[in-house]
Amino acid sequence: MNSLIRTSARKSLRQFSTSSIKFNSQQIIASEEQALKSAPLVALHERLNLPSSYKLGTLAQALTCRSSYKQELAHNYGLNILGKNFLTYYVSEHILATYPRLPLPVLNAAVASYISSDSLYAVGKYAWGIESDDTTALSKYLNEEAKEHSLGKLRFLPISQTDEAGVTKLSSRDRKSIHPAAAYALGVRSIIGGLYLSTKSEEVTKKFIQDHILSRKLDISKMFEFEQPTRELSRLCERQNLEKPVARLISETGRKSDKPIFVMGIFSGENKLGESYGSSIREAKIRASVNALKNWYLYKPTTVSVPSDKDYKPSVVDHGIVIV
Amino acid sequence: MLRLIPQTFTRHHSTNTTVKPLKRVPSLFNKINSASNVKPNYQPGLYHHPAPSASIISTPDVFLPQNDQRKGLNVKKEVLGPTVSQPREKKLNLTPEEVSQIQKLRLEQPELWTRSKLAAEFNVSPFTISLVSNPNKQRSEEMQQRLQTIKESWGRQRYLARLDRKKRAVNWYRDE
Repeated sequence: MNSLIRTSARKSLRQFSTSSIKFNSQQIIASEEQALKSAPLVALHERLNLPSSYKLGTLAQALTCRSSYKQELAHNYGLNILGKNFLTYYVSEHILATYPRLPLPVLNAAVASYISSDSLYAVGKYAWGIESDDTTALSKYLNEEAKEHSLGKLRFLPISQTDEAGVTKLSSRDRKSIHPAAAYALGVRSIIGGLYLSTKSEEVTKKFIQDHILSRKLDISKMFEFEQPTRELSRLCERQNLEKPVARLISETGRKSDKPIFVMGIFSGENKLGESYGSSIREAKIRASVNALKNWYLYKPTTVSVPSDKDYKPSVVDHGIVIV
Repeated sequence: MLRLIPQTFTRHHSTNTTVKPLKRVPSLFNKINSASNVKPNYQPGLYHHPAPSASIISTPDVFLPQNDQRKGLNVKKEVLGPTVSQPREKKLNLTPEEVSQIQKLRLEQPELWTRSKLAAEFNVSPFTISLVSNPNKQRSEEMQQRLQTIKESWGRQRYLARLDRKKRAVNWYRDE
């Protein structure tokens, strides 16, 4: 999977470099002089601690979506593809190296939790504080706002959220209009793509993704739901040549009351595999099996190294998920 | 290095008061439905109200791969508590004659030969019985009808309680 992502990242990099020449001839990147006049743009550059080789014009390009009214400016579509490939690669290798036994659906969900549109929207809007350019041309004129000011804001054509009462829209929805979350995701991905283009360094891009995306807390243990945990656990023990799992009571209270609590453990011989509680023996047994399965799937190696590290050592490769 | 850490801690006046446990969790209070209950009136402050879940994720030694540095370092002999059920010898194979007998009994005498009775008779699980034979159609329709009648007699409270029980059971399979 890793090598696949890597090759796809390289492929799109090549595609990008050829296609960027094409639209550069038609569309322009804002000059440094113009860009310096935009306070939000300079502030965003400083806030993200971007290197000086990252031109303000490139940052302004990263904030221009294809649907932007500023048609003369180069848009961020190509940068976004580049950024997306970097994000997918570094996030997947990080999760795979941290939890080498994750089942595929959980792995996919975990990757999506880091880099889905909604997550990137939260990063762009609330962590990076990117503003969207949603004031009208008239109010800009009345505020005597400089033309360049809006270069530091995210420019896109939002889909109309509400229909006005009594108004029937006859024309079909504008194809170019996008949801704010999608626009913010485009912006965030493009900023990452732009970082690589400005620094030409995979290390810097990786560090940036680690600092801004992978530093967010994600509880993978809450992403599991098993259909037949007891059966799956006994199949797992069979596969690993362990003794048959047996549920044993560890403690209990109030068996004859209306709110009893049982604490049970799942044991294979004398080894405890998992432990949990429940208000009935059946519940405690199922919960303990789920806990044991999570203990298996959420195994973490002591030292996590990813394929893009210089001193990479391959981690655990085992039989994969338990087939019930 | 370790000696520098004080072995005893003294509580000062500011932290001397013990934290009171939360005896009853405040819930939504309905003026009509909960009129007979006393509304818990807690003074603002700190209460001890620990989270109910105690399950921790930690990989046991037998689940560690062979090349892990921790393998064999943390082997604990557990005190074994009582089991709640004995693992029984499973009979995995039924002969073709037995299967046809099961099918015949289940179709022809459904009142007498229920799934659990057949399972006990042939020493297999009820699940195996459902794999090898089909239920009597008339009987299953009748049972569905009876269940429907029972469900119709439920009041709103019981209906909600049953629904709630189903929702809670989903969490068992996530252990949350």
